[in-house]
Amino acid sequence: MESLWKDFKYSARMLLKAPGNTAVSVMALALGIGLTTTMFSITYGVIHRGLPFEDSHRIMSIGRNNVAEDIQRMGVAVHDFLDWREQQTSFENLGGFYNGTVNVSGLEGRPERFSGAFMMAGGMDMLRVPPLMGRLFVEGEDQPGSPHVAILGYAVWQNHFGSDPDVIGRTVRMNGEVTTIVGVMPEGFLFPMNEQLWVPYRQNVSEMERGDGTWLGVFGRLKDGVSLEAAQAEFSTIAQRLAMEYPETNEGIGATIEPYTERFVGSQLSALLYTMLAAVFLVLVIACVNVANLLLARVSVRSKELAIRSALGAGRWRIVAQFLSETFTLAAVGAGLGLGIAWVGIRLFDNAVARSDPPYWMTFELDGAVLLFAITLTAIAAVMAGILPALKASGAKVNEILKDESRGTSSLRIGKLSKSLVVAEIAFSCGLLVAAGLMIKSVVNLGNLEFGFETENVMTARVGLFVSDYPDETVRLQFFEELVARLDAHPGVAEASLTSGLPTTGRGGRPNFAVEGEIYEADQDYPFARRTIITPNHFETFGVSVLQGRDFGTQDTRENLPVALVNLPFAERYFPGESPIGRRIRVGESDSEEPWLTIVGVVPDMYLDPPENEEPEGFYLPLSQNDARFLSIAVRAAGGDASALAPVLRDVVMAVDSDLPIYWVRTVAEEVAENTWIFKVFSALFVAFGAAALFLGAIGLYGVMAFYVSRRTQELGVRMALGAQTGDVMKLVLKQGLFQLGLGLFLGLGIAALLSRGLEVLLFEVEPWDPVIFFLIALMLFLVGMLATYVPARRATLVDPVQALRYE
Amino acid sequence: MVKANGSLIKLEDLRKVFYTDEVETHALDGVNLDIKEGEYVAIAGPSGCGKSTLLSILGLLDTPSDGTYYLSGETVSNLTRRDRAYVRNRQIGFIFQAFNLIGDLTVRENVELPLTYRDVPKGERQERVAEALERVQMSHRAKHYPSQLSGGQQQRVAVARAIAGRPVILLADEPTGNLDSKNGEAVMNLLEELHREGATICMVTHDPRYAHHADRAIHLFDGQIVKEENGNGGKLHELEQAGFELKQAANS
Repeated sequence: MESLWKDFKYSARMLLKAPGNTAVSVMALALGIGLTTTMFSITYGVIHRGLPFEDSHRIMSIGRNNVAEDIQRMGVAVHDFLDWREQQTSFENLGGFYNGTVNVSGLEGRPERFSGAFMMAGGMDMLRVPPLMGRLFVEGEDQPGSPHVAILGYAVWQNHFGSDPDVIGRTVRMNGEVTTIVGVMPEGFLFPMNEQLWVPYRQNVSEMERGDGTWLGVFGRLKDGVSLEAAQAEFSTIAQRLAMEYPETNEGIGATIEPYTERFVGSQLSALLYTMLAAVFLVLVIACVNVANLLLARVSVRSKELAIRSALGAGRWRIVAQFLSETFTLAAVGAGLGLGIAWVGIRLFDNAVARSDPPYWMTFELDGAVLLFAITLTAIAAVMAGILPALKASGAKVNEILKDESRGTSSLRIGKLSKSLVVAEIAFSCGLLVAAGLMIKSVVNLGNLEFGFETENVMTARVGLFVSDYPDETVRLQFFEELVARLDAHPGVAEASLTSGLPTTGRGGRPNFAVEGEIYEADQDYPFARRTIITPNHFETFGVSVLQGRDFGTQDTRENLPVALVNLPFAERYFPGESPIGRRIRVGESDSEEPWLTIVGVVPDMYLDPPENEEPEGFYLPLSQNDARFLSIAVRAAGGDASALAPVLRDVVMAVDSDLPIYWVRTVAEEVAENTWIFKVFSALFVAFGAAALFLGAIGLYGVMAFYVSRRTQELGVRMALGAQTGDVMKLVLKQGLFQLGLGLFLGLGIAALLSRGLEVLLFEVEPWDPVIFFLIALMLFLVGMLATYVPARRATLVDPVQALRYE
Repeated sequence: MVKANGSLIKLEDLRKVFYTDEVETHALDGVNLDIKEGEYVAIAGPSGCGKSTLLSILGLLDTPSDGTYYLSGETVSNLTRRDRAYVRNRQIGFIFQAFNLIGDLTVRENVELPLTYRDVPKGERQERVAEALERVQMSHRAKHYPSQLSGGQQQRVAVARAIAGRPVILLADEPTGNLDSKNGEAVMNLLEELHREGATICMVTHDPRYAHHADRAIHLFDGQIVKEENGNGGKLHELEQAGFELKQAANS
């Protein structure tokens, strides 16, 4: 222990003696450890943190699949849920829910809209989270006709009920029904995903056809001793039994079970995060290679000292320990700074993703688990950076060095190792920079994307009607028509319309359909397209013109011909080389009872889904012929700032129905930004990784070339004494640097090809093997590498042969 | 360049001053020297007397602070760095105390090195390298690396490198300094043989035994030539320098 302490003290002294090298090493390790810890925190937060409940790893998500139709996962029909709950033995119980809007009025001020979960009774008990006040739902409260009850989330209780200690038993109107508050959940509880309050599921299942009704999310807590595999086997058996019993609705339907949180991540996102973690680990490897190289340079300089230590009896492992104590010291200081970098990085990421409303357990913090990772990483980095120089130092031929250092060849061997490390460093940097380049190009493409419609000047908000207040289609249509009329009449509004899905949101359903005249052999052959319900003037609101045919109008009523508009991708795909006007489509499959819809117009692609979506085909239906309860309002400002219309929207909606809140109030530009944030965040991360890699790579190459020149000063002096000109010396050094650079780039492009495949999901209109990016990055690295080589090469030409030859 | 007739090397009132920490050091202080073609001259003197500085200037590795240096009848005192390298490469052959072979190059490549700097065609290079190695009896080690040779062998390779370029003069700096007496004697014999074959040699040494191998020994002290004597058992030829009193400070 004492000798270890001495080693650390001596290390500190040695490191302080070479402040330049020490600063570069600490900076390199800080970057490597900081960025890797940031990425780990992100990966840990998304994939591993889990639900904040007792034994939360035993809470599973159960869904349905249909392997024959290549459907990996879908929601659970309520009848299936009830049969599963009755027949299964693997779980303590099953919970079912669906998410939805809960409008609350009777609060102080305006009515408010909240994200709510409609829960089957019994489900919340299984989570083992007791309420802060009151109780959870009890059996029977999820039956139609029972009194309406609700449980509040902590934030709702605090912010909207003034933390009223007597809130239990208080009544408010929720979705038009008088509802009694029976409980308040503790702070931080937002299960199933990000819910602010909970109401019972109250649909009348006995009156529903099997397969009808809102599909549920299902969860359960595995009983002690039951494995996921055993539960999976049991549910597969139940699913088979149901398929035999109800072939019409359940044929081919299976059950799939996975840990609850994994359901929200998906294999693509997992793969992406692990790719990024691997990428950033490369930055750390590069940093370690840098430090290893600097230490190797010092091994060479200190060979005499180490030989003396060996001659005095220091064993090999003693010298290894001495060197490792230096890298541990460096890594510890680097980790301190690295944690600062990580803190900033995690904060920035957390702020960026907050807009996308991730599941509530996905938090990104520098907590115990992340700190433990950082400590482990620091130890790994210390060993990675120190082990090669340590082994090299401890393996030197003592006698040779002590006899005549100048004739020893150990420094040359170190030189070879050092050069190999730099080749690896350049290769890793190249891989990361190509990935960063591809991401930047994606963001640039996205930024340059011409949506072809107004984004800045259009204000939007969402509004939802409930059956209790608006029991049939007619009253709902009346509400919406009056709303549009009032908005149109407002002097600040140039155009107003309603839509079930704003551009880039992907809302509004994606049913399959048939084109009249086409033959589909099986139901799974029916194509899918995005369906959007709109009011007339939708396209004018967004400054878009109908390309062919006409827009919807007042003539498109229930009594008249059912009509549809299709977007250009739809027309080109399903009616190639011909006009779709007058052709008919029908929603549904072979047994569809939906009416045939006559296409009356073709409109431009308005990006119904996020821009990276590769299936942009969509069709529009008029609200006057189709029912909808949740619609987005879109108004184009007559002039000035569209954001100023936010209070107008609220006032106009309240003027039509004083109990109706609006939500998701934002401009189309903000909506688009929200649906494309992921490109910007991940590209920013990659740019940070790439910049760090470039910086470290350049320092590494410079360091090695400078070391190369310093170690070969005498040789360069000899060459100059023999008549070598400045150009000859320059050529010699540059040739050495070029060889390393060339080999590093060659290997690096290979690494880049592998890395870019992992990024494919994030690339927007960029091929993973984009030749321009590969070329530009190789060129940039080449130029930076040449600069890093040129400076020592230039220095080499200034060698004074007299000094180099050590004349008197 | 100004021409000077008669001598291969002629130094006129050559001076070299070093300035360090405000201290002025006169390494060479008015040296006059003539070396004829085919002559074998030894420069002797104690450590710090200026002999290596003199050799550096003779080898165009350094420039004088004052005075004139004629090589092959032309003044070379004020050449640019580039021109000095050019002249060095073509007219001067170096033999160093520490051999200064390049560890990464084979014996053949080491000997070839000065020829590559003057763009000698490959065929001719190979011919000259073979000839030089043959001359020092190292042909059989042509593919070896310096680290695989003994000190004596390394110095013979260094001699081969020096003569491969067919220089007008060979400058040897303590060529036996890193060798045992047997190998040292062998290298001295090799230089003598080269001299007999017509090579002009200027050698720095502090060992009086080796100084006597030369035709003429020049003794330096405090940057001045204090004595000249004929070597090879010839009669002592003293040169009294005006105002200089010989100090018995050195063994030379």
